[in-house]
Amino acid sequence: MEDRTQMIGGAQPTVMGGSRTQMGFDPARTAMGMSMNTLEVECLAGNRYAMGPEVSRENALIVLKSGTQQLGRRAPLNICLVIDRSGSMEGEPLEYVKRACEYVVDMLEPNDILSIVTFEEQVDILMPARRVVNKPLVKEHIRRIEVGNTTNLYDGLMAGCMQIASVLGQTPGYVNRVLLLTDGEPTAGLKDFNSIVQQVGLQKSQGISITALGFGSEYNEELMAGIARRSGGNYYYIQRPDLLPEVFRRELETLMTIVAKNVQVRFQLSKWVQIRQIYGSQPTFGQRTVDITMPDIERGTVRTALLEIELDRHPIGTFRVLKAEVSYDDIVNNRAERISSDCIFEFTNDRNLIAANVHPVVANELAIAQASQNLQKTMMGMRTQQFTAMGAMDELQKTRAILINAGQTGQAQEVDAALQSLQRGGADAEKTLMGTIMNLDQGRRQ
Amino acid sequence: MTQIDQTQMIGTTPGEMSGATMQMPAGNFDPLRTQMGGTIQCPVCKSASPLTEMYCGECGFLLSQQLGEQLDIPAESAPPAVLVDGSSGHRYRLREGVNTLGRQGADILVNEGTVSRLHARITIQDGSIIVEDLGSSNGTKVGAERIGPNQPTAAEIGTILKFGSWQATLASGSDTLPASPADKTIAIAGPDRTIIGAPAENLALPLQASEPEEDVVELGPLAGKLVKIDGPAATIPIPVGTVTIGRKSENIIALPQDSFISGRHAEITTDDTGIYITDLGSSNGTTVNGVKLEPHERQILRDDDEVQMGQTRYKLESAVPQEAQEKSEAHSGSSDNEVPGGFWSEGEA
Repeated sequence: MEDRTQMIGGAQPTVMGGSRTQMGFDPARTAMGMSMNTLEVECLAGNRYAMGPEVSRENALIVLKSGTQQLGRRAPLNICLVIDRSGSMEGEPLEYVKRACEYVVDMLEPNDILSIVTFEEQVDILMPARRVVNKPLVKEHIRRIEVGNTTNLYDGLMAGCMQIASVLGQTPGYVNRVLLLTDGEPTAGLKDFNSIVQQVGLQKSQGISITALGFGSEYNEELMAGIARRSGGNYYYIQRPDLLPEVFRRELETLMTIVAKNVQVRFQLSKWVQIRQIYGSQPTFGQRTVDITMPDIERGTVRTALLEIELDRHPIGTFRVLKAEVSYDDIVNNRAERISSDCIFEFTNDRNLIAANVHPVVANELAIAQASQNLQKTMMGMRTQQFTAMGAMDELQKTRAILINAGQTGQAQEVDAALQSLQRGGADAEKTLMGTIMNLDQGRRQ
Repeated sequence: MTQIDQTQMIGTTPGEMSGATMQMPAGNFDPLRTQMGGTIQCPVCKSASPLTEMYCGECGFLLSQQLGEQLDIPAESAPPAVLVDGSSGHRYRLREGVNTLGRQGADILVNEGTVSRLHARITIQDGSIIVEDLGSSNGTKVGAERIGPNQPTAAEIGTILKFGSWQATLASGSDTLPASPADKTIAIAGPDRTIIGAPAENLALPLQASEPEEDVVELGPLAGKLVKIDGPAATIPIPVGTVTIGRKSENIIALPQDSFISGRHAEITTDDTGIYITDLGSSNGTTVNGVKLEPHERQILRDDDEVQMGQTRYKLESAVPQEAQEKSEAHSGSSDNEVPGGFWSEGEA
């Protein structure tokens, strides 16, 4: 088993989480236990106590863990490679892309389904969705890809989603994923960020996620990260063409370890409780429920979501303030599963008890959420010229320290990479930071 | 301070619970009761949960604990106003005093790209509402008017506000929310004397006023009851104030057992001058002493008046003196079929 935490040649694919947090989410531990569930959920109160006689704001954390052991099958894949063949891909980039695609073909098994779409001004279905039986023939098609003109990213992406959707009925229990590779801004077709991301959201609702692979220095990182984030996919920044095959391989390996997809969390609120926000998510508020969608979960990983809640006055005593109900498709056992966990607070009128009983894991997540907000502010400051390069570097240093402190070594390394880029006077710091923010917000903890 | 026995069981068949597995009170073979399970009444919010539950399904109270001495927390008043999200309908509560609005760290958190981190301020004081933009990037509108930064502008209930491209309406904090059966229903089971949700009259409930739409559910002191003579539906408790009666669960008194009772059948209002019943235009009507009521015309009820709704006949019993109540309690206590608790026993607490 290869060590995924190593960085390869300066590429900063954001799925590389680095080392495990200090705060002790240890997936290995749960796998050794009695549990037969693919996922486990725990809902932690930010403090054991809350003030009964007054309105207070507290935090709660939902932690989803998957075991490390490989029990049962690996996830069968229904994937579509959507490849930018605009003029700028000419030469080395396209050659490496072809090699990367061939790599993917080699890794797939007869059970997996592959489709390939290329786009420039026009969209071509190089290979419609089907099982990979005749590998040499597929590769021959790949070798024939040629460059064209403009970048019609939207139509290419939608054609890819349609390929996946065309076989959805026959592929329950498959991991459905578009791998979108581009090196530039959309120049043809739909270009507006909000419209594209909204369409991506619709794809997600039918179970299709998109991994966004940004290559080189010209692509729009905000759009690519936005696509990945909205659909629960991954985002990679690929600096050099020779890294393309490696990144494709790594993404495919990641997909093959997915054990739970279509992960939905519903928070059932007790009376006198409101959710103010869920960091990094766009929740749907019901009358006494709040819903969020989580990304697919890989084997041996942890996903978290941090809530800020408001508690009205309560009588002194122990209350369940909310219940987290998680539903997901268990890929290992090929069935739908439901698990739930209660978040309990003891209401007291003793302020000292509150000061002494902060939950360290939740406090740590709060620091991480803060770091993400800092990074967003820094990026915004760089764009609007509010920050000089020196000012931005100062801010990044601070955030990096917070991340290291919070045990997010991998993300801290990414901030480091952005810092180095700024020092060199490079313009790609934002491309790296975008992925860091996304990982922090999506609660991927390793 | 009254100690409440939270383990008391109250038999019930609220429709939405019928699917759950529940324990039965022992020694009970009444066929009507076989559809009922045991429930436990929460000492804090008075709602019923199946005995299998650890926590109250409504307020989350850990049901195995004794309620402490802290029942008399001063009631929190209803929010003076709320801000209703124009697209999702989500209601943000506003408080008396200053409420900041923005994307981060504000009192009203709006996760929308066009809303600035600290965007605006809504001040509520003595019934007046003032909106002030705090130098946001994308501006604030009160009604049709775009307001400049740091320019306090008056608004009122019903005014549409726009922060960036996020739109919301100021609404009264005491507006009732859309009906939610779990919040409003008092279900009454088949046999008499099995009523949930009627709290003891002298128990100071915490937070009673914090959600005004639920005030009606707390039945409060009883002015009397419509005691069933015969028919499928149950005896009806009559509190002071107004209660709606009907087959559907959105009524304060739900009578699902009699299919001849309309979804929204009648209303009973009680004030200093007496107890009145009004038919709400029901399909099969309401009769008092054999006389059919005109819809929407209220009719006073006196002791021993006979009321018929659907296939169920009732007799009015207005509130009885305390001695008589204790007698009745003693009597019911002697019957081993009786479920302990219910509103008979609570009046004398």
